[in-house]
Amino acid sequence: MDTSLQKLPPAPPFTIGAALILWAWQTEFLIFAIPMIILIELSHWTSWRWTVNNKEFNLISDFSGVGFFIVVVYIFSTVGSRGIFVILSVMPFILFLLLIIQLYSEQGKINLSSLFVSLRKLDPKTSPQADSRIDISLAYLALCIVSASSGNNRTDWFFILSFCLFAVILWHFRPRRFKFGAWLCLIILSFGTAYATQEGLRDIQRAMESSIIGLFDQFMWRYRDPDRATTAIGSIGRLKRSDRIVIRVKADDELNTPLYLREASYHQYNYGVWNNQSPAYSLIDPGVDGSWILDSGDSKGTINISTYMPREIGVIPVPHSANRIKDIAALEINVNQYGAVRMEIREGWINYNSDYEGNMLGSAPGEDDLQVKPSYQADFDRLARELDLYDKTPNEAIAEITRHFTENFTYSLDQRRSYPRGKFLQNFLFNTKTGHCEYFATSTVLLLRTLGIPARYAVGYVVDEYSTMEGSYVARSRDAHSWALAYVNGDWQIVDTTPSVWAPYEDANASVFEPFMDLYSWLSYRYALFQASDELEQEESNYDLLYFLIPLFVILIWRLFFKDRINRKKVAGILKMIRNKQGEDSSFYALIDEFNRAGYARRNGETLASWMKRINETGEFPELSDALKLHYRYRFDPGLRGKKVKKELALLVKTIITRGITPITAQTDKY
Amino acid sequence: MVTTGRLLYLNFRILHRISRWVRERFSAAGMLILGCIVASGIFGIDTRASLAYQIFAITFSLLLISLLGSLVFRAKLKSTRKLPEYGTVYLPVKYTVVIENLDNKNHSDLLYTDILKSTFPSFEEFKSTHDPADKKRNWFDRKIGYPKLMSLLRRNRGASTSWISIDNVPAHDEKEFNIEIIPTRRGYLQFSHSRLARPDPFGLFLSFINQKKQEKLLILPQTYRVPHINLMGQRKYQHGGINQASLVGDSQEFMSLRDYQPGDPLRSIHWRSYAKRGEPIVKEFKDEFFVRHGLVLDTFIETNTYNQFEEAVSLVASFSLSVKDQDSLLDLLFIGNTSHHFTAGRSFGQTSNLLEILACVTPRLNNDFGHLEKLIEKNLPELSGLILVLLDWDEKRQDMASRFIAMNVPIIVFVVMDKVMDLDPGPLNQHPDRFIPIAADDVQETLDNVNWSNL
Repeated sequence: MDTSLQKLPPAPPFTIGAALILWAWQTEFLIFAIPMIILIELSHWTSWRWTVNNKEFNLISDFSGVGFFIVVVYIFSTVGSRGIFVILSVMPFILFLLLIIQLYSEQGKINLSSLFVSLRKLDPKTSPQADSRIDISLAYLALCIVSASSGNNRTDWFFILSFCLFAVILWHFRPRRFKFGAWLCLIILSFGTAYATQEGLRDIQRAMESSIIGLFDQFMWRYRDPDRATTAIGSIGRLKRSDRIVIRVKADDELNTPLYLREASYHQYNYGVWNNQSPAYSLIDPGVDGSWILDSGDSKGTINISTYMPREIGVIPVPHSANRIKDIAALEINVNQYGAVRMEIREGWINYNSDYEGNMLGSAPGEDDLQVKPSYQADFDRLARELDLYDKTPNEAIAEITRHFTENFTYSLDQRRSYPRGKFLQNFLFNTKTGHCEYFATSTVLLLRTLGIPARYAVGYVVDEYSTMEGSYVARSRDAHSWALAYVNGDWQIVDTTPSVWAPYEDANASVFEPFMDLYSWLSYRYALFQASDELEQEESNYDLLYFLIPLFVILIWRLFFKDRINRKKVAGILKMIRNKQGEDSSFYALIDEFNRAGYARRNGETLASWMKRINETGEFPELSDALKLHYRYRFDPGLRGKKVKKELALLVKTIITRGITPITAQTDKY
Repeated sequence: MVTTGRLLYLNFRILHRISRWVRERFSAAGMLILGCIVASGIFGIDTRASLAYQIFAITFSLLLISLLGSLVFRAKLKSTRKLPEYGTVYLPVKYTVVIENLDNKNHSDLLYTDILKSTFPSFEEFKSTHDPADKKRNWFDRKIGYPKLMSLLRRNRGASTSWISIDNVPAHDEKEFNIEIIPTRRGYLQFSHSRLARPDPFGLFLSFINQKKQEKLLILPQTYRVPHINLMGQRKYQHGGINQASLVGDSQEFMSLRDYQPGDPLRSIHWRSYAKRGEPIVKEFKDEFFVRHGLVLDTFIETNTYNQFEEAVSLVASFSLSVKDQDSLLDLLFIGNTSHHFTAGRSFGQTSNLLEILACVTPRLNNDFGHLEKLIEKNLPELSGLILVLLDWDEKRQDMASRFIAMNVPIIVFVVMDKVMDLDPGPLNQHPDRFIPIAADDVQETLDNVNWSNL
């Protein structure tokens, strides 16, 4: 049994136009929507039609498919996963051409095999669906309404107008046995249910968010919070980080040592979480030259950094001694007392230059930078005594700590056993002696503090991989690192006690697809930069993707109008001849429909002439035999008088129909 | 252990049930609304990110009210089918349905359809069957197999039916209308029940009444255009003379009178001589010699190559139709569940009887080809020549052909293959024209190119 979409009725007049207005209002595409609406609605008022064969339908469908693919790739590469709503919002553009071709084609419907490539090769005799046709106008209308919802223009009007559109469609296709009043009552009931449902959905989300958002924030979203860092200390299993390139650095000189780019520093540790208790952000004013001055000291050099912003506001990686951010059109830049630089700009790849000087960014140490929780004091005091650190100068102590960790400890991303809460570090220090950078950095900070040396915990990236393809240094997601900062001799200095094997260890886990991923990453990065430079010259625009469609559009036009030009003339001539011979537009068919509707069923194998004779047995339709003769003539041998025959036939048919055909129920016996 | 293939098959089965339920219960507009619910449900999962949740709420509520509105459908309606005697594969079959309203009120906005019985293919059938359409499918579809499963299901069902709209059936009145279906396989189409449906107030959801009405319609095999084949073999003596060959007509050639012998038919008694002599005398006729062809269908296939077998059946059906009834006899020989031997021509049986038999023939997956050979040999003395429609040209079949040639029996061999292949005529090297390999996809074109006058 088949009730499928093949029987989808066409959209009622003006409804697609109304849906497009709703869409344009929500997505602010009004300027494009107006010509679209005119073209679509004009099809109801003009009889001009195009001869489109199946091959051309296939071509246009393929064109729309390729267009959709390009749009998806483009939007995902520029906007990321949130681009799904952008894709939804442009869907009416993508399918517009297909709809227009359908509306202005002589067939008025699209072959199902044009939409599904897999059906194209099938034999219509054995697979009838390969030859069936579908009207996409109602589906396009529904798409416009769903697409409009991506606009997120939050007023009750969207809900009301959308509902009204659905109601108009349902009214058009309603079963005729229902009276208007009963139908209206049900629609009003549906409206109430729908309104309550959408309010309920919002409330459910609010309730769910309040209970699990914290959980998500802590474990799933890897967005760097400058005031809080949850480490993987105590977690069981294997840490897996991706090979995705997240930072690109260009330096004037070759890097002799790994470059530490800090994102944030923290001063308080408690059970696997580093945080800043009372962070204070100071707003940086841009200078006259457009640079953002973090510290007034003289610059010693500049490095160029590109990074990906997952949100509009976030911390950016900068060298420890950064004193100036420049060449970036940021909306706002803040710095906290621990040296984290927070920037408000836009999502996606950003590029900036950072000057650096001798001194490290960050406030002078305070009491907090010496604090060790009582639960950890005994362990670190024991370690300090074992290493004889109390008798050493700060520099000697740092050297000894570094030696101890790098020589006696191993780097590992695996943690096999679980320990009681608060015992993770104890086991790391005295039993397992194995862990990843967060163990080493945290232990170093707490050990330094035990010795009375102010220390902080820093997170960011270590850059030392040079990409010859890109001509710049790159840092991948797996290059994220943490280290300690110690305040010695009046300045902060980096103390990285993680065994130096960590970077090769991480590299060894690289995917075999890394080169391909790097190539894709570089291409999308270059494109993002190209787009960003374009934006400086003109207003931000999402219409660039249309440029991608231009060559495709040119090919399509060429295929449609020029490639088969010679054959088209012949084919058009033959088609015209066949159509004329067929006499498909004979008004006699309308009369047949009327008889069928009135219940005069045609028997199996009964010829049209004998059927008409049977209908006219009582002589109720005297014009019928003449009409049949004219129909046969128009159908099979119109000759030169075709138009005249058609006119005469139409007149006779009109006469019969206007006089009225009594339904068969009233004259069953006669029939 | 559940294999991946079986797991996929089970998933397809569930998917098919869901999809059938949706297709049966929802109107086209209803399916569109269902699509909107799914799409807006996906996009609207985060109510802060977009307004798609509002579309979800609207479409969901409309469908809910629609569903509730469709719950009550009571009607005393009776339907009757008037099926034709036969149909033919791929040719439209028209039949009439009469709906009788036994209620005191009119019923309008009705939809009618017939449900054809179809068994869901078993996993073994799904795995072993080779679907010819697979050649035209993409790699993914071929590997996953869902289109093949659906194609098998359609084949088992035999035809597709669709909803017919009935505007109004007045109280205590009836309405007659025609339905057209296109059968896609031979054999019996089994109508299991008829279904009357009515859409809800919004026209999205259908509620229906099923009436169990089991009927069968025999679909004859597809046939091709072939000329009458006249093999150059001898006319053979037919036991029982003309009486056995023709039960009517006056073409008997009288030879003499003789005494009655037990077993002589009563119609041979010469009544006048009986009256004269007082004991029965019978008429003796001249022995009858005429052409009698054997048409052999090979039913033995090694894998479930449906297309190949169907084309072989169609070919045999086409030759059955080409027989000139008055001049010759045609014996159809094949092995089904048992050995089958039917004769047509000169009043033995009509060719339409052969078509009926061919409509129900099924392939045999085992390898007992010797049975067919024995059956042919048993009937060979009466046959002038053989038309062999084979499914392979292996050693066994070639040996059989050589034996017949050695016995001076003229044969023509048609080998129906899955694809075009160059085959060595083997024992037919002396008469290469009588060896005709045919690709299953291209039967008519190959037949058109055969030089029939050389046979």
